[in-house]
Amino acid sequence: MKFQPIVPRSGLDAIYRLQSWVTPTRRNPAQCLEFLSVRRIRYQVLHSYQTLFPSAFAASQSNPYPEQDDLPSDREVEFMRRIDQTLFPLSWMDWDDCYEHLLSGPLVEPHGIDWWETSLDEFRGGWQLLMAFSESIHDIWSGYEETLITYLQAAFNLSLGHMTPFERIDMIALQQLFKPQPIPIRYLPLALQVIEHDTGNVWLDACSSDYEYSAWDDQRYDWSPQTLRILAIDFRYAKLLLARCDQLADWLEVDTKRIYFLIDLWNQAAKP
Amino acid sequence: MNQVTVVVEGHPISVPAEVAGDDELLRKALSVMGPEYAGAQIQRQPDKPITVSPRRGSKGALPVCLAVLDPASDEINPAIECACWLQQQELQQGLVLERAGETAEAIQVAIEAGQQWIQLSHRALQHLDQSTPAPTSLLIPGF
Repeated sequence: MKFQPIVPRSGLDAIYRLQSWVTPTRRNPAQCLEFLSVRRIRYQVLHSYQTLFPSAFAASQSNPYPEQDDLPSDREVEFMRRIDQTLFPLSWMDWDDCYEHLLSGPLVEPHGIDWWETSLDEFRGGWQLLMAFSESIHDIWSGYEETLITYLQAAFNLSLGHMTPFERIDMIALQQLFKPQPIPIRYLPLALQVIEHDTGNVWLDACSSDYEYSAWDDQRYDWSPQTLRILAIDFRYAKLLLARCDQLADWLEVDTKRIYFLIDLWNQAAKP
Repeated sequence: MNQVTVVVEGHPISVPAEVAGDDELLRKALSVMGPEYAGAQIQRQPDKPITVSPRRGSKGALPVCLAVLDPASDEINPAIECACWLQQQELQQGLVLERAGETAEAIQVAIEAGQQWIQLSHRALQHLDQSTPAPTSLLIPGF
């Protein structure tokens, strides 16, 4: 394909082209694939900026050319900031290795209830009480002398011994029992899904344990407009779901004995 | 002892007349130069020196290989083609922001095709490495 030469529009444009000129022609497929992978991200980011924020992109004065080939351009950084401010968080924006993160794609970090790295007493009281209904939390405490139930009883001056064990609970029946209940009581099954990281929402299901043993790449996505839209919608939905669960936690904090009402419903879902 | 000139692959060498006069003796004498002379062709023409052409062994099923290789199209890894194309585009036009989406897609296609191409090449090389040599009676040109 022949290209109609265009006069460089800026100094960085000219430098960028000259860098391309002085780079020896790539003959090795592996070198070419590496070069293309980096370029693909650069073009994908610019395309997504144009697609998701067309007027901001058109009005942007920031340079699309990077000062060095291994650094993000001002235009790319501007786009990242827009994503961070309006779509979903990019916590690594100000990190030193920001460009490596940019090349790896957006990273979904845990925004749900991450009990993997947090001890129970660091959660607010309402959430601690909700964890009484979580099988995973019970499992974690099972190795200790003090069980989850004895801890909660002591911390909140409650008597929780009459709770039906998990293995005897029919989860479908539980959902049906809670569905017609008033807000926020009906949110208990949802709160359980959030605690168990089983909502189907990437932001709520991500857990710090996912980031161990170099599993970060599993939480990476691409910069295409479609993916960014999905991540943004998911993030908004995650905030909505968390707000509902917080309502339930607030309700429990008003009077911790309200947990007895939840336990009564829970016990009704016991398998015959 | 009379010496006779024998031309071996274009090079004249002197051989005792009684050896040169007998095909089998000549082949036996020349075979010290290499096994290909054990079955060498010997031409005797009046008023011309004796010429010897070695008969070399052959390797591989050459006609089958050539039948596959000859019609195969010349190919360049799509990743190399795309990288050169992109380099040229960027050199002449810089970043073409208006076509960033198309360019990203074209690059993605080239990356996938390039990776597949590498896998296929590796597989073909593996097959060649692992295949058992097959003898043939045909000669490979140039050997």
